Amino acid sequence: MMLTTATLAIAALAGLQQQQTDTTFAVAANARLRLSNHAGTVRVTGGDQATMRVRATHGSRDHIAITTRGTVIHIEAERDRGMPNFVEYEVTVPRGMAVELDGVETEMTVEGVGGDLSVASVEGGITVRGAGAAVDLNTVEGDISLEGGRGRISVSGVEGTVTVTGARGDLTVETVEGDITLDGVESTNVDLSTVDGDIVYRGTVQDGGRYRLTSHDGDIELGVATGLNATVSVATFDGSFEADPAFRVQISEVRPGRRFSFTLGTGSARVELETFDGEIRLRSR
Amino acid sequence: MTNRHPWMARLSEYVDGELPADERLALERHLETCADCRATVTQLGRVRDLAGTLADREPPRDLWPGIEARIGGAARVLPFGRRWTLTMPQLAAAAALMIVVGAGGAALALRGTGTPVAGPVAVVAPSGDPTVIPATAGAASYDQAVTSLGRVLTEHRDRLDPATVRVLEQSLQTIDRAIARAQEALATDPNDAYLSAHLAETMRQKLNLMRRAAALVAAS
Amino acid sequence: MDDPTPAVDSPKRAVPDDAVDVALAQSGDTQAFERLYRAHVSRVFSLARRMMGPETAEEATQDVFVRAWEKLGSFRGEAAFGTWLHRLAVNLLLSQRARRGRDLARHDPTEDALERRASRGTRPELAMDLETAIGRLPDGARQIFVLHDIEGYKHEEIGDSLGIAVGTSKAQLHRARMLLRSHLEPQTEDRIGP
Repeated sequence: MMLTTATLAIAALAGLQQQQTDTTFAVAANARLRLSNHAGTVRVTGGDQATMRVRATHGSRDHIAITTRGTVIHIEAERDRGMPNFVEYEVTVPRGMAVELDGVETEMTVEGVGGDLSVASVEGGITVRGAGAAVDLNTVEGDISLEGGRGRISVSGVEGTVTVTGARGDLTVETVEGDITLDGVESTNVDLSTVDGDIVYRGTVQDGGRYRLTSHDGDIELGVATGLNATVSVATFDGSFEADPAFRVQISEVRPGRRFSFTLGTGSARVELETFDGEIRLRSR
Repeated sequence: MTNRHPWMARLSEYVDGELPADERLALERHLETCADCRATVTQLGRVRDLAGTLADREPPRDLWPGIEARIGGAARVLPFGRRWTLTMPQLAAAAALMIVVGAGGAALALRGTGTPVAGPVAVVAPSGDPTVIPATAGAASYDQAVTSLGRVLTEHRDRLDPATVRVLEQSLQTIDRAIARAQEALATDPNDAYLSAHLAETMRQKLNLMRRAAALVAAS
Repeated sequence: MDDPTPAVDSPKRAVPDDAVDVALAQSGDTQAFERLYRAHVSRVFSLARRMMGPETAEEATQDVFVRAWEKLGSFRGEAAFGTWLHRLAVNLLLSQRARRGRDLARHDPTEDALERRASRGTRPELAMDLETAIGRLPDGARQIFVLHDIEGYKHEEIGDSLGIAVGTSKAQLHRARMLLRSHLEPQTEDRIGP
């Protein structure tokens, strides 16, 4: 009996034997990266060289397939039969490259990539720093953190918090169970929604812009400098509203279950702050 | 021709085995003496058999762009790069229809038999102004979409990791509770513009989550 | 530096069930509907080409898929999606056919051409492939031949769809087969009497 257990343990260890892949190759200026992974971690870093380096730690029965189709470079672990094991990737790409990552049980990290970025996981968080172009992030279970981004920025979580800092562009952020926090954002088009979570937006409200922050069960906080020009619409069923006195908000009557609006400055931007059940705050910063 | 080949017009029926027994026997007696009709029977059978072996062909050019242009007029780019066409006006319309059902029937309406959303529907726009927004011609009503997505998710849940299924189910329950609370609130104040817009928004979130879940199933 | 392995790779993506794509399409996902289109287009296009002729088949195929999109809400999953789509295609093509038939002159010159060739027999070098020959059948005979011999419909179903008697359907089918036979089997020509 003891022997059998020992044999099994050795067999299991053999199956887990790790192997390294490390390869570097030149890539065209317009090349795109598409990496798919089942389980593990992926870290993609932008570098100064016109080359791509792929380092991967993977099971001995798996191999890393790097293939090109048109301008797209595909990276994927393969195994003759069955699903590849846990793979840890470290990939360095030319800084301006467009990157598309797709995983299932995979934690994703992207740093200093200036091209368009699309990252999707199912069970795993996503961390992006120094994004330079359009960003599309999507996971089911895990937190999402984005620093940077220009143009169209879209973030979708389900269970997990979303944090965005320093983004410039049109922002859409959606999650179901989790807080959404935006800091230092410059945008004329912001749409943030969660069902069960708080929303904090600290940034600018620009003339002519549109800002929509909605939750069902959570607080809403808009932190902006005074002197903005906005028509602010506030709605709650079972919550409350408070504004920093510095804004000199004039509301004749505030009752629960009612929507009301007020104008700041010229009223140029349109701001909607809504939560079914929670506090809505207008804070000066 | 007909005099010499009185059965000529019925030979296909004979080939297909569709003649009544007495006629079939009479025809077979004729075939014994008529080589022309025998040859024709053989040929008709071959034509029929060949027809059954014709292969399908791809169209010479891709017809999808033309179709997409015709069905995707209302499509908009939503998160994670997918294109959806069931838009807020339709959801608002679905929510409005629930409100029309009234206080007692609101909960029932959500799992109702499906109310087609087509043509202009009066809805309450988020601004609070009653507005007429023409609903886009969509594939199905909200109810139908939720029902069919729910069905495939139930049938194919084993394609997803159990942990993922658990997260998705919990989140759907969270949304369902939010929908139920919005409906209860609407029941007490059916004319509240915010509540109807909030219900529509929460319904949109539910549909969106179900679509994402189904997309995961499709990709797995 | 190594080069990336040159290879023609195929993404390892399972072909999704129609059911999942149908549900997604019903919820308004046009990408899922595109997958359904790709899976079924050759079937629909071939049907349209045979029933409508090559010149209008492409447009008719697009019409079928647009109608399918509009009608997806009525698809409840009792039958396979392909069966439902095929039925919808047949109905739409028949109604287009009928509409077009009313606009066309009753007389079709290609019909004479086929009749003449059939009556004088066909030399081997004149044999044409079955698709081409089907395309030259007179409208009525062609529709019924396509529905019965290619698509496997019964005369009763064809009669219902077209609003004609079963006997008429049988007679038109026979006519179609008679017209087609001499173009397909020139080698048997010498066995046919004068």
